[in-house]
Amino acid sequence: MVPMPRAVRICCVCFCLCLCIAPAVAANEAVVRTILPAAADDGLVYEVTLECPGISVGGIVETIPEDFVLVGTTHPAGQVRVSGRDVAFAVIDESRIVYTAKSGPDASGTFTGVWEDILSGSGGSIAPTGVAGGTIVPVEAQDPSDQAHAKAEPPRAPGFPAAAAVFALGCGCLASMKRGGA
Amino acid sequence: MAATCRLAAIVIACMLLAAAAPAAETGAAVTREALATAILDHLTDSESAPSADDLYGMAYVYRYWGGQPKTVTDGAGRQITLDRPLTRIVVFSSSTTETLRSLGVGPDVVVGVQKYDIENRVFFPEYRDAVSVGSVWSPDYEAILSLRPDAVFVYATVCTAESAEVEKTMQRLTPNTPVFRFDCHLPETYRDEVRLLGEIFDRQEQAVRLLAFYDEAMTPIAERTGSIPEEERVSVYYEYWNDYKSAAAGSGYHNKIVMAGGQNIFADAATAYPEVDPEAVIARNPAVVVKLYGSGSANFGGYGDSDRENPAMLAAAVAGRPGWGAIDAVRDGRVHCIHSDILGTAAHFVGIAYYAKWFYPDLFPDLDPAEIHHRYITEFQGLSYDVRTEGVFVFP
Repeated sequence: MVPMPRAVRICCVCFCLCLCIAPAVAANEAVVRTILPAAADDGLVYEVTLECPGISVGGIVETIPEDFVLVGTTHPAGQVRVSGRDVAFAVIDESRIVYTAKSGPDASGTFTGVWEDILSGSGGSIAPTGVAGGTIVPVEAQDPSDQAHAKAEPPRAPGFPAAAAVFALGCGCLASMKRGGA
Repeated sequence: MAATCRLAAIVIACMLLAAAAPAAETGAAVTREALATAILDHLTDSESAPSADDLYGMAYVYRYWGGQPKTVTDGAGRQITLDRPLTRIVVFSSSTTETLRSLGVGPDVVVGVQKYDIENRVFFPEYRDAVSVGSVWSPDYEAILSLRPDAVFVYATVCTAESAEVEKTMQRLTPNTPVFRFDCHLPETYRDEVRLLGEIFDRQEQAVRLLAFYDEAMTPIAERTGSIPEEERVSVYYEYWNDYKSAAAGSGYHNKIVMAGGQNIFADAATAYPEVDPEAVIARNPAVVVKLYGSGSANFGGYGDSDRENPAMLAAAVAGRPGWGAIDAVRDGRVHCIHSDILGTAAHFVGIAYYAKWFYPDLFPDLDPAEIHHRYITEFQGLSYDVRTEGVFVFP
């Protein structure tokens, strides 16, 4: 059996490390968004669920993509406010928020959001979710400056492992290239 | 004149601030609807959004107080209704600051302390950069108001005139800022005060834990000395750092002697803190002498000074007073010195444990006051400080 080049082996290790860390990152997030697309008569509807069991009293601001329209939510009426593409939810002991957005059949875009726990003083961004033509699509890494809605300091713990993983991957690759004479 | 003008300026500034403050929900119950509206106003940057402090207060009241204001009681037995949790307080008493620390209430809530606590850098390291509000004898109202406190804590039964003056002035300057009275250094009220502070700051569990520790230290002393007949109790002469200034019935220092099973030879003095006749001490022939140090002419030892020489010299000087060779305590080598940090403070139970050990060594072979002190400092005060090797609290 031909042994794998050292650089490839290190990259594999780093990749595996990322795979291990990614679920942990998701598990540590205070708010997790899932989107269930479905066909409608005149386009597509997206049932968006925000799981927020860690917030006892706080808020979430979701920004729906351009050309998408909010059509409803199961959240109490007095706890929702819509302003343009932003939908603000007051969270008072709820652990889940469900809302529905609608778009044309070919529309695409990214759902983004921020959350804040008023009692703990913590807050941060919700991982963006991309949609295109009724399917969930990967989203490119967020621009760190695109956090205009984040009112509180983003939590340190969730962000660190991802950054560490990327750093580890980068270091691994660099080390491999150096050793390989690249 | 200048001081009057400055105070007047502060009063006017306070009135303007009060008038300009947003119409928060202060005083009202917090309904789910009101809280939701406040959160949405905050999230959408509405002009009517409450301040971050107000929003936190509303969320707290809704979540932990069932949306209702909470009525609490202070150490003087007065009921005070809180609309919001206390998040910015000024404390004028070291023992209260110390007790709050035992309950986990620290500088994030205690935003102003008396100058002595700031100077006491070994024992209160977390307050070394805190804002000084002067002292109860010389309060700095400008500093207090600059902190925008939601409550001020003064003494309950000591410094009563000064505490009353602070309360009166605060009520004039900011009528909505409640003033709480607490001592936290007297064994007869300490348990109640810990429980009440636990209620005020929603630290009931921490209060229970502290009181369990306190009882663990104090109960055996009460049990073992309780059955000693009055005539068999060890006679004790207690003396302040000022020579021949003692304590009589009605004083906290007298009570601590009694709680350790001792008999105060000047319990019957006419005033609580009498100046006694040196001849009277010799005539009453105490079995134990306790000399206090830590201030006045005996300002050494405690947490910030590990030199054992001064307390030793003090004990020798007391024992060597003219005519004192005839006193049993001197003859038997039972002249003890104790620092005020463990007798006149929230840690008074450590001093009482030393008393019990000194008064009745045969009754308390297993009692280790230094260990009680060490546990208190590390487990409740959260300090990295070993009282067994640092500081000087007793002699011998």
